[in-house]
Amino acid sequence: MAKHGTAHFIAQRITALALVPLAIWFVFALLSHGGDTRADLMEWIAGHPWSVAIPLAMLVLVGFYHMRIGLEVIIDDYIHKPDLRGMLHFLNTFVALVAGAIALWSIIAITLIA
Amino acid sequence: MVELTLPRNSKITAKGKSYKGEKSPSSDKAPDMRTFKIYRSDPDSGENPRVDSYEIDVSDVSMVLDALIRIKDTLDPTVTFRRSCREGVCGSCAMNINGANTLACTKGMDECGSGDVAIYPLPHQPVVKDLVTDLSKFYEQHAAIEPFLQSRDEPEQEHIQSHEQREKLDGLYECILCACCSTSCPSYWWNGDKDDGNEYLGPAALLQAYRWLQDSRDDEKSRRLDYLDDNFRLYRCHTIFNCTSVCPKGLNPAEAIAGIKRMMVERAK
Repeated sequence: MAKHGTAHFIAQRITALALVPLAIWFVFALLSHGGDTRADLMEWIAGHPWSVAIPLAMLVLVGFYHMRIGLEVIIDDYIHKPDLRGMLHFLNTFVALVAGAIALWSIIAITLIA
Repeated sequence: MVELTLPRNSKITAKGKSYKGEKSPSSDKAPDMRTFKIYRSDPDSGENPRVDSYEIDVSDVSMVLDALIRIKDTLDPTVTFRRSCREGVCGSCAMNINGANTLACTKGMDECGSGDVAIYPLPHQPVVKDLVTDLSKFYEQHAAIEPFLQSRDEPEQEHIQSHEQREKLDGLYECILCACCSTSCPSYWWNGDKDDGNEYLGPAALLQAYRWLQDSRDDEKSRRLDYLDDNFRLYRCHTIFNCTSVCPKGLNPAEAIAGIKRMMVERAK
């Protein structure tokens, strides 16, 4: 985890920049669907693959990746026992991968299968 | 986990002593009695540190270092601190005065407010005695960035540098290695000496690394950047800016670190 800090530094900034428009879009999109039922929302995603499902998938991918590398910095900063640090790095990657995969699969399932 | 507990025998639990001085015989002004609360520690004795109070007349004292010397001369010769040039050039008398790291010799009594003056050693360094800290790690980190010219040119006479090239070193070469910046940095407290060679070099060493990266005569930029391209050595800087706000020479280590990061990103393009 210690080497090649620059790639990490650049990735963190690029994902942060990408999240600005994605997060703003997401908040406004959710606000405009305030009273929707579950079925309405599924229809909203499935019915607009280019303008909803793809931005949503990007938000999920970029968001979980950004979360993982951000938490990595915090673990490196504050955890002093090398074994525990290694374990938390693994757990961090694992949680981000699993949560990201579930979210991405849900979007694919709603858009293409449901 | 996070190390929040202090090392053994490092808490200030011992009862401090009080000393009261008299009016300064060399002063022709009205006496101005001020209390200095000074951290006292002697790790060899096995006792916990204490804070002693010294009340002295500062009517004819201009700098905090002068006050410390007066305390040592007139009240308690066992108070231990480093000092040498008494004019902000050597960096020996770096300590924490009223909560901020600075040089005792350039800190004026008029900058200390009107209350008691609290004097502690540089934070988060092993204390040798009283205000003297062990800076071995700090010097090791300075050595690690290879603070010397590495040029493949062998000119007949001197290495030629234009005025513009020379100006790039202004604000970088003036560092006196007093350690005020590095020991004021929380990230350096936690990561300055971590484990398995994972260590943040700290603002002082990085300022010097940047000084050599900016030197037009140096040919080892790429190798210098390779050494710094590490999550711990360079990227533990989280732009806290304590380094810049305490530097007694008015330098800007935070900007130098940002400069190194910029060079890294440009190189990665």
